[in-house]
This record gives sequence, structure tokens and C-alpha cells, in this order.
Amino acid sequence: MNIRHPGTMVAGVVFAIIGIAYLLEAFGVWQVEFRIWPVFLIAVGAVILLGGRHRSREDE
Amino acid sequence: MTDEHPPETPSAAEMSVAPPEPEPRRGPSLGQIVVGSFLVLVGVGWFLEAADIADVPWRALLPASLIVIGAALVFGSRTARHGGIIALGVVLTIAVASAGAVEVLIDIPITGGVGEERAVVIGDIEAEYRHALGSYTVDLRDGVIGPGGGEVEISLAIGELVVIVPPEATLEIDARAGIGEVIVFDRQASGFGADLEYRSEDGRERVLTLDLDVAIGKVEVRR
Repeated sequence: MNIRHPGTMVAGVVFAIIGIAYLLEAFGVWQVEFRIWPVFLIAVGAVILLGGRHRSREDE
Repeated sequence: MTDEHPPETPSAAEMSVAPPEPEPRRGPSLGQIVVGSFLVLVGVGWFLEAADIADVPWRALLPASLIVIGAALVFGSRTARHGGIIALGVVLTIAVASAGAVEVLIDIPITGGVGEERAVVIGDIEAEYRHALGSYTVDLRDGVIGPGGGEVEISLAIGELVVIVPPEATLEIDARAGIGEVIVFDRQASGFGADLEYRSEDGRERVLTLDLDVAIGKVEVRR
């Protein structure tokens, strides 16, 4: 798959994971713990880094 | 003779100019797909509930929408950045995370005192204990649970709530904090909409049921 915007893809994966986690909680399958939020912070950081890297490659 | 020329007629070559090519058919944009899917999702749910066909778990709607947005972004990452949809995803993520907190925040009556207060219950346990702001301790160790058990609602809008329960009591506890921390004996939860449930396993008839809510702050249950 030719991904032109890896940051967008990572954002999509992160949103989907958060959605699945809270969907499971809504149905009482799993309890979302506050401790997992730093993982999403890491993911957002990764999105920014990947986006910046991709942009600098396009500039070259 | 006149100088007037007959109007020029278009030549055969000009007349055979090909008509402009039709624009290539464009499908709906990713944003339209996301918004359309969301509306269809809400509409189907609403219809099913209105027609008494199914009881729709509306709490699941926001996470389901977030999954749709995530899938759309993964799919759409091949073509464009889709900043608008990412922004929508961020807003929805905040809404999903804070939904539990909002539920508790709306639910709590802002009544009772302000400051530090300690309610020591001796005799019959009342159905409600409320405090608005500050530090609130409810000591139920000397409280009497009626023959049919007892149900007690204790709430604090902002601050620290400590509930001390009788050591031998059979308990059913539902403790929630809109934003903050919940501690029930050795268990702990924190964050937005923190919630802990506890059930004693000794199965006695006189059960003390505690419904504990703090909008912003900390709730702790100890023996």
C-alpha cells in the first residue's frame, strides 16, 4: 500500500484503538484505565515526528 | 456593389470540433463519507429505538464513530493529509474520554456544607449525605443497618470524600469520581470518570449499599 501521509495513517490507527477500547468499556468488557493515556501521548508524538520526517523528504 | 461581406460561416473543420470531454466522475470525499456514515449510524440507531426494535446503547455511539474516523484516515492516508478529519477525531477523542466524567458531573447535586466536615453516624443510617466543597468524612462504623439492608447515597461536589464502613458489614459499593481518584480498600482508579465497584462475598442478608460520587476530587472507602 502506497502511504503518502504516514502521520494520517498513525492518527487513524490511534483513533481506532481508542474507539475500540471505549466501545469495549461501553459493553462492560473492559475498563479503560487512566494509565493507558500516556500511550496515546506517545502516539501523537510519533504522528508529529513521522509527519515532519515525511515533509523534509518531500522538500529534498 | 457594397463593401459588406456576407457573414462568415464556420468552416467544416471548426464545426467538427469535438465537444468538451466530460469531467471524470468524482466519488464522495472522505469527509463526506465520514459525516454520511455518522448520520446513517445515528439515524439507524434512532429508528430502531423509536420503533421499539432494539435498545440502542448510545454510550457506544461515540467510540463507534471514532473507529469509523480511524478507519477512514487509514484508508485516506494514501491520498491526502485530511487535517479536518484528524481534528474531528481529536474532538471526538476528548468527548469519548470525558463522557464518563460529564455523566458524574451532571449527576451530583451541589448541596450541603463547605469546608471540613466529619459526619459520625450513630444509630440509623440515613439515605443521603451531601457536602458541596471541601473535605468530607462520613463515619458509618457505629451506624445501624436496618433488617432489610440499607441504601446510602453520599456525594461531594469538589474535594475529598472519605467513607469509613463498619468492619463486619456486607457491602455493595459503587464509587465514582468525575475527574479524580477512587480508592476502595486496596483497589484504585483515577482519571476521567473513574469508577470502582465492590461486592462483599460473604452473602449476608443485611447489605449496606453505598453509592458514592465526587465530581472533582477523591473518594476513598476504608474500614
